[in-house]
Amino acid sequence: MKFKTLITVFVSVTVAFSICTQAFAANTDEYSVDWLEESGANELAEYLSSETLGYLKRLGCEEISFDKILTVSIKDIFSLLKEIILGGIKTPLKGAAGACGSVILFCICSAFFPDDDKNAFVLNIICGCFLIVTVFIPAFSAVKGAVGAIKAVAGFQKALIPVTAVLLTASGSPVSAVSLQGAAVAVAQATELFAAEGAFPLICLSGALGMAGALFPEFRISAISDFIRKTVTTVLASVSGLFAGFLTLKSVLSSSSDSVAFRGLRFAANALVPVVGGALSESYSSVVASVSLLKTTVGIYGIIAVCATVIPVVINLALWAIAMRAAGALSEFLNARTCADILKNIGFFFTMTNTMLILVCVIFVISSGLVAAIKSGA
Amino acid sequence: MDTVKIAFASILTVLLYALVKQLKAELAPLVILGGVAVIFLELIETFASVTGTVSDMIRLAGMKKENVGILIKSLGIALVTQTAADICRDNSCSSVASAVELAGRVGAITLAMPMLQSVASLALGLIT
Repeated sequence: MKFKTLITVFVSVTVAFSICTQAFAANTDEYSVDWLEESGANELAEYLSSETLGYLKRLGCEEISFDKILTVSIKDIFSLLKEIILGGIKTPLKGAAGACGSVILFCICSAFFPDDDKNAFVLNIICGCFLIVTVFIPAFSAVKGAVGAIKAVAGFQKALIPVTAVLLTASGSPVSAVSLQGAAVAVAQATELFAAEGAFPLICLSGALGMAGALFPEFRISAISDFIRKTVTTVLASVSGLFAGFLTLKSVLSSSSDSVAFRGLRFAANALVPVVGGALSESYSSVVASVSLLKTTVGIYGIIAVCATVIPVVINLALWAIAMRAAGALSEFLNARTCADILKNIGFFFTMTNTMLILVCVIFVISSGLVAAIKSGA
Repeated sequence: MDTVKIAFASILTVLLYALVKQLKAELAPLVILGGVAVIFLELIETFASVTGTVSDMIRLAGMKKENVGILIKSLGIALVTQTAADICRDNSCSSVASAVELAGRVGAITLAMPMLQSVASLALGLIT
C-alpha cells in the first residue's frame, strides 16, 4: 500500500514537473541588443554625418538606448544650442557687416550724383552687383548646407523605414508596418523630390529674379518673383497639411486593424491552448510590449538624430536671414532703395530655404512620431 | 582737404576765366581746365591720406579689396567724365559732352565686368 502511494506521488510529481514551463526573469538588455542587431537599427548611425554624431555624443544619445535617451536633460540641449549659435553667428555677422559697408558705400556713391540719373543708374547697377558679390556669394554655403541636410534627412529616413517596419511587425502591428512603410517610403521620396526638384529651384529662381528686379526696377521683374514666392509658400503649406492628414488617417486605420488581429490572436491562445493558454497570451503581450518599447526608442532616436542634423543648419540660415533684415533696415533708413530690395530678396531666400528644411524635418518628425506612437497591437 | 583753399582756387579760376575771355576768348577754356586740374589734384591728395582708414574699414567689413577698387574706380570715372561733360557744355559743345558721358558709362561698366560676370554666373547657378 505504502509502495503504491509512493509510486503515485512519484508519478504525479514527475508528470507535474514535465509539463511545467520554466519561468524566469528575462535579461532585457540582451534581448534589446539582439533586436537592435536583427532589425538593422545599429547601422543607422552610419547614415549620419560625423558632425551629427558629435552632437548626439554631446547629448549622450550616441547609442539607441532607452535609458540614455531618458537621461538627456534640457540643460544639455540648451548648452548645445548656445554652442551652435555662438559658433555659427560669426559668418552671418561678417555678412551683415559687409552688407552695411556696401550700403554705406552705395550711399556715398549716390550722394555724388543727386541729379544725374544716367550716372546714378550705372552706379546703382555696379553697387547692386557689389552688394550681391560681397554678401550673397559667401552666404551661399549656408544654402548648400541646407540642401545637404535635406538629402541627409531623406537618406536617413530611407534607412529608418525598414528598421521600423521590422520592429512594428514584431510588436504586433503588421498591418501598420506594411501600410506605414509604403506611405513613409512614398513620403520620403516625394519630399526629397519636391525639395530638390520643385521647391528649391523655384526659390532660387524667385531669389534671382527678385535681385534682378531690384537692380532694374523699370522692368518690374519683382512681380514674377512675388508670384513664385506666394506659389511656393502655398504649396509648402498645402503639402505639410496634406501629409499630416494622410499619415494620421493611415495610422489610425492600420492600428485599428492591428488591434483586431492582436485581440484575435490572444483570444485564440486563450481558447485553444488548454491550461497554459492564458500564460501564453500574457507572455505574447509582454514580448510585444517589450519590442514596442524598442520601436519607440528607435523612433525617438531617429527624431533626435534628424533634429541634430537639421537644427544647426536651421539656426545658421535664421541668423543669415536676421543679419540680412538688419542690413535691409539700415538701407531703408539711409533711403537706399536698391540695396534694401536686394537685401530683402536675399533675406527671403534664406527664410524660404529654412522653411523648406523645417518642413522636411517636421514631416520626418510627424511620421516617426506616429510610428512610435502606434501601440503594440493597439 | 583744405576746403577754403579749393573755394579760393575756384573763385580765382572763375575771375581769371572772365578776364581771359575778355582779352582772348579762345584761351578761356584752358583757364577752366587748369582750375579744375588744381582742384582735382587737391582732392587726390585728400583721398590718398584717407586710404589707410578706408582699407581698415574694408577689412573689418569683410569686403574684397578688388571689388571695392572697382567701385571706387567707377565712381572716379563717373566724376571725371561728369566734370569733362560740364566743361564741354559750358563751351556750348553738348554733343561732345554726351559722348564723354557715354564713354564714362561704358568705361564704368567695362571696369565692373568681372563683378557682373560673377553675379551672372551666380544667377545661372541658382536657376539651373
